[in-house]
Amino acid sequence: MSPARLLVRAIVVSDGRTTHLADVLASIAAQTLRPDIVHVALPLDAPRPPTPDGLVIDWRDTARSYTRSIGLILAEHPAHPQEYLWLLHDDTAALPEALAQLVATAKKRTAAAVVAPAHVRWDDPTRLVNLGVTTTRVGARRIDLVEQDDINQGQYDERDDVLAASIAAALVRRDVWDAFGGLEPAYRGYGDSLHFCRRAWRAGHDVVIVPSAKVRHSQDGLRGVRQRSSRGTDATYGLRRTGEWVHALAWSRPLMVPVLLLWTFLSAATRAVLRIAQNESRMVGADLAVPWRVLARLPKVPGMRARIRRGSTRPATAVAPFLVGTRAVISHVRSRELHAYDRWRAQSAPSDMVRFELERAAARRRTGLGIVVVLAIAASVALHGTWLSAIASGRMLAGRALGVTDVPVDALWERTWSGWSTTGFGSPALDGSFSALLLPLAALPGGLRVWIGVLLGMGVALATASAWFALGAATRSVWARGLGAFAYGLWPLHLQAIADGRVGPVIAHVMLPWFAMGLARAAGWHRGEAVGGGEEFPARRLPSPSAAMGAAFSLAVVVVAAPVLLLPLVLVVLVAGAFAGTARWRVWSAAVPALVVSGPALVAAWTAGPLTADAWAILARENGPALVSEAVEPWRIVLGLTAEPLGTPGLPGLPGTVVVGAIGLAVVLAAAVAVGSGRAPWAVAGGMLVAALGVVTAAAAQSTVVVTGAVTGEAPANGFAGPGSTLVVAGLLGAAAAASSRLWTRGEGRGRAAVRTSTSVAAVLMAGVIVATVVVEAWPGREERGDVHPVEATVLPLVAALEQELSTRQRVLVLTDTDEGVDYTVLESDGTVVLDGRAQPAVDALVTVPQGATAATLADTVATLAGAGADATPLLADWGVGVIVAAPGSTMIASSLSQLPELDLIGASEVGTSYRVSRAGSDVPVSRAWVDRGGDIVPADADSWSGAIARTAGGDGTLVIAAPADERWIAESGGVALASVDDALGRAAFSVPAGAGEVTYRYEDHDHRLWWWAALVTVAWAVVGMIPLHDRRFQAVRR
Amino acid sequence: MIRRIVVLAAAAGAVLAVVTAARLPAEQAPEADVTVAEVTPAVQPIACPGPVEIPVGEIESGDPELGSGSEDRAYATLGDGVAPVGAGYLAGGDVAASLERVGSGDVAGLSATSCVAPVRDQWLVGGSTALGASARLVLTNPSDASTEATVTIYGGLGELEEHAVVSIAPGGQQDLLLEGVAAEVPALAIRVVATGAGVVAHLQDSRLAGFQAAGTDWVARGATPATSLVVPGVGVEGDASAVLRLLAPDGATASLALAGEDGAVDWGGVSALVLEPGVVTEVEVPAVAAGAVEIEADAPVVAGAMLTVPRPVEDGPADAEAADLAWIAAQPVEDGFPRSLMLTEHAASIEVHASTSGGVSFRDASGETVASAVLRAGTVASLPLDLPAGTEITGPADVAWVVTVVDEPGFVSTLAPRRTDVESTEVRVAQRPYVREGS
Repeated sequence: MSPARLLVRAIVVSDGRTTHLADVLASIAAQTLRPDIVHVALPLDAPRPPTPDGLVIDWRDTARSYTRSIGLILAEHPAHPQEYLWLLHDDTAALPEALAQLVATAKKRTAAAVVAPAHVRWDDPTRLVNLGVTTTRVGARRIDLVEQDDINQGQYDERDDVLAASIAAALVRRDVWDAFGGLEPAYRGYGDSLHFCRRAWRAGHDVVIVPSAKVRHSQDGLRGVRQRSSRGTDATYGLRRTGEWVHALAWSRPLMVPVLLLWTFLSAATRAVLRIAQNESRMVGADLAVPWRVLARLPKVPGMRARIRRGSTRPATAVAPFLVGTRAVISHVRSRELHAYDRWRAQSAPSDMVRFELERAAARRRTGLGIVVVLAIAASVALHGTWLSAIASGRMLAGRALGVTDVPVDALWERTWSGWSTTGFGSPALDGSFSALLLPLAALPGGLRVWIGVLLGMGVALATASAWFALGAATRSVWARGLGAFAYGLWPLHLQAIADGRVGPVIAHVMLPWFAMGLARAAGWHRGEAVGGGEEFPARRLPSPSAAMGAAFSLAVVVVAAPVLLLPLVLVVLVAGAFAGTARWRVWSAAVPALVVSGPALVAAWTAGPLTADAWAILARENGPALVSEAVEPWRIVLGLTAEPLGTPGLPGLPGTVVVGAIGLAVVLAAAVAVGSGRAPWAVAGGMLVAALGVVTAAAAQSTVVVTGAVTGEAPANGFAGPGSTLVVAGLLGAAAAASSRLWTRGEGRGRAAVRTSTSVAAVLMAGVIVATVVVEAWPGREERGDVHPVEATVLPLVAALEQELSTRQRVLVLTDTDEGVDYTVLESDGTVVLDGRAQPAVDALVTVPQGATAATLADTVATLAGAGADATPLLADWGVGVIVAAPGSTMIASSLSQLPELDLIGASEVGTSYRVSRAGSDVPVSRAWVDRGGDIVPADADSWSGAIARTAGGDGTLVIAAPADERWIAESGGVALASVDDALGRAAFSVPAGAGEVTYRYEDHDHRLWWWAALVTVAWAVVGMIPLHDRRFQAVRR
Repeated sequence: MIRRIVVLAAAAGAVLAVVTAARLPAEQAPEADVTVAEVTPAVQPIACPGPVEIPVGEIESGDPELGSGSEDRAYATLGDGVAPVGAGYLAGGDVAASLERVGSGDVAGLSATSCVAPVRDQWLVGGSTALGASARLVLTNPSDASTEATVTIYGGLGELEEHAVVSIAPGGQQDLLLEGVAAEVPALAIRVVATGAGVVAHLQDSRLAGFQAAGTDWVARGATPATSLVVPGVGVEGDASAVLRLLAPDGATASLALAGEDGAVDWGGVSALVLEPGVVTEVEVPAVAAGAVEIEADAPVVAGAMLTVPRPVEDGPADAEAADLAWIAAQPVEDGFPRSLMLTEHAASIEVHASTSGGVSFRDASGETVASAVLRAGTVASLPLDLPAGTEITGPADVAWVVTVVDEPGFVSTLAPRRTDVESTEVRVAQRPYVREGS
């Protein structure tokens, strides 16, 4: 009983901002079955395209929205019993047969409210754009039933009933349109088709797709062309994603709405992280804005839900078969990714010949890497095998500069989080970045003890491996990479830094190659694999955003480990970016995390006067272990030598300079040959400039006193030349390696033979120098370079260590006999900790630390103790020193302490003799902080930077914190800040009113906290961004 | 071409950087802070060792002629507030002394010694553990805390491996027979390093020549190692002899001079005496009536001198010879502190050596001059004394002096003066990181 004739009313709505309108009208005119009536809604001010021959067009003005424009037209034309609307967009042009096929289907499927055509690409009708849409059970994800750009081979021709299809160019029954009131405005154009079709199903109608009816669709709206956006589909991502959530809210069960709202935020956060990993930083904002957009549209949801409820005649389960589950979603996402991957592969697939060469190169590379790693580990074991076995047996490395290495996680955490350094009696710290750097190592199984041991013991192997990977960006020659990597790993000043326990320069040396590699790849300057006759594969190397983020992360690590490298490396990044062409912003972004992490220091340097020696001292500071080292001449820096290199016991005639400097000499010669050869000129020039920068940095560092010891009493020390020297060797090796690239296949005939002979000789010589260096350095009986040595992990007697752990947090004063007197140190934890980072007294002048009764007074007190004099202990108790330990073998001081009646011997063991210090006139144990109410003392439950004192009865009192006063100490009771009072000893003190409840105090440095979060965010961003997710293939297919 | 220039320019830049970097002014890191504090220890009482003992124990043969012991013993303790500690005693005042006269037996002789305060580090140059000789170290702890003394022994072959560690209870005394630690060492020097408030060390040097007593005396502590020392009172007459004993802990070249009453006395072969580290060296001192040995060395040394005064044998073979001996410890030159002592009976004379010209006068407790002289630099004088026992006399600063104690029949001993001010010690206090030493 199909009706004899349908009325098809074609309506084209255009906002006048398209170039396709003429084509659209022409396609209507070209239809084998023309629509009965054609309305075109076009703004009055927009230019009208010519009307195709034989087509009668009813020109109309547009209204505010698509639905309203249609509504205006329909209002003037009463509904016909069999009327269908053919709703054309101004970017949809139907192929000639389309309307006829749609009408034919509409006649057969009378229940169909929507009869939709297949959408194909505007420029290529064989490629599918849309062939029906569905959604998940939750509804918050639109699932296309065909992949974008899938080739139409008739594989979908059987498809008919779908949950939804695009309304664009679809036949819609006029009565249904009128009943629904058009499209839902809350979607703002994205997702309204799905909503309309789903409503149609629920209202007892069908939605049918006609795969054979094809409509070209240029997707102007989707790509944001109308807004003149050049970002493609990204332009409307936020709107589309919001539409999906609105759909979920409209169709979910009522109880699910709050859950979905929460879910929007979680989903947005997850996607934002994913965007960072994909280095689509602009999309992070779009994703983060989605939940707020959803919230803004929330008021419209109840209305939508009411309309759905009123219009539905079928139950919700009626559409359930169309909805897809989790597995289908995963398969959908996976096929989308595979599709992109396939396209990348199709674009960059090498020929079989090239593939064979690449496989051979890969095999050579893997073998080379394997040999280098094995030999590097062997060299490490030869040099520091005893350390590694000691670590394995539960001991730790320690040294004068290194301190103890068994530092617990919480100590590092408190140091980095609070901004309060516990060295001595404590002091404000410039930043906590060094602790933060080591915190992940401390959190790993085995703790900092094991990982610092591995870092130092395997320092040579780690640096060698890093250099291997970095040199891969400069040359693909396995020999050049291997030899260069060993020269870098065995760099004499690196060995010196390892032996001295200078953790910062060691980390900087290990991480710098990664930075260099990241920078080269970020700019697309890395070498491709050499194939065929001097070509490289891939022929065009693309800049990698992930590599830029990797460089950013490495740079942040390097400048935390060796702050002196901040200025030269930022300069390198700036210059590199200037030469990087379109990748310049990516390259420049590599400096951001390093600058943010160094923020407090930069501010301090600026405050000190930007171009003064003080500012440089702050910038050249050493965060971790530092030692007094003799300044050396620049040529020694270039060769990586210390002031007095050790000779070899077996070869007394050979001066140490020659023995140790051989590697440096070989590297300098290689760089000189590179300069002379004229090969890879830009890379060689860059390398030489980096080396020059390194020399200047090292010389400037060692000419500045960077450890003043003003607060901590450390030995003042000049800067270490190591980090600058690292830059030198990196620059020279980079230059030499870049020039050596493809040297093997250079020239013809005798020339090639000559080149090959000379490179072979050079390689053998270099290998000889490297082997000789390892042999000399590992020579049994050769004097140690430094004083790092393995010791038992327990430093203090157990009784003393326990007192440090208790809530009273007593400090321990350790005294050691010397020939002429006594040495002392105040310990917060089990042994001297340097690895939590220096507080940077270099900036004391700026942060104004009151040094009331610290170093000098303490020294006098120690002298009194040494002479068994009276009245020494009250001062110690006042500063929270609860235990005095005489070091093992220090019998002089032990007997002096034994003579003091106010000290109680609490234990003697092989790790020292311990004495308890008592408060004068009170039985309450010594503590880090306490409230004193007229002699009635209540100790605090404290950690290194905060604490709490339980409610106490009594009159007015004083809260005393055994730490130097600083305006950033804050004390509160019941939410009310306590007033600070002056303390005769210069400690932090607050008045506690009578009847106050629990008293809490803490050290609160707002600036520190701000920088801390900023550094965390930028570094985390870099870490996520350096995950090489999709990187290459997305780069290739998207742009 | 441009590329070539860029590369060469960059290389030139690198060379330039090396050259210019050498011109950067270097800031010198200051030395680490070291606090040097004067520590004044609590005033400790002075202590004397007590009577001498017969080294191998009292052997009673029943015949007084043959026994080691003696019926003829006189032991006098001089000082205020005397309290016994072990066999010895403490005294409350600034000075105190003991004198013992043993008329016969193995330890016949005069043994006088001044009481001294405890110190942590002291050198005693004297004694012997050769056959017939005994060295008994008496360690007295007058303080209220126990102390542990480490005794290091030096001999003619350098520092001996054998050393002793002795714990002494508060207010206690411990004996140590050095022949039990290191036998057959003819020339000894002892270093005693004690913990806490320190210890008082005296060494009893007793010698036998066959059956005859060859002398007994207390070796008192001398000056701490110094490059300039004087041993006063080495004048001997007749058959008596004087021997100088020297030790340089770290080796030194010392030159010796003998000052007489009229200036330097000829003494050949001692102008550049090479002292091996830790080796005890003995040098015969020429006999002059009154003399003092001046020691100048290029590294710190310690020294002491022994006087041996022979006397006729009362009862024995004709060729047998009896003797008494006296030890005189070296004193620092011109440290600027006056010294005092308490006279005992038989105090005969003050032997004084002046390093600078001028008058020297010795006063008693009331300030009255009891002896005086005018001396040229580098001369000595012998000032006779006739004062009752228990008199406290104080000499001028910057001279070296001892009091000789002489009695019939040829017994000699000496009393050394001591500084009565409380010696504050210098303590260098520095901060340093604490990690355990490597094993």
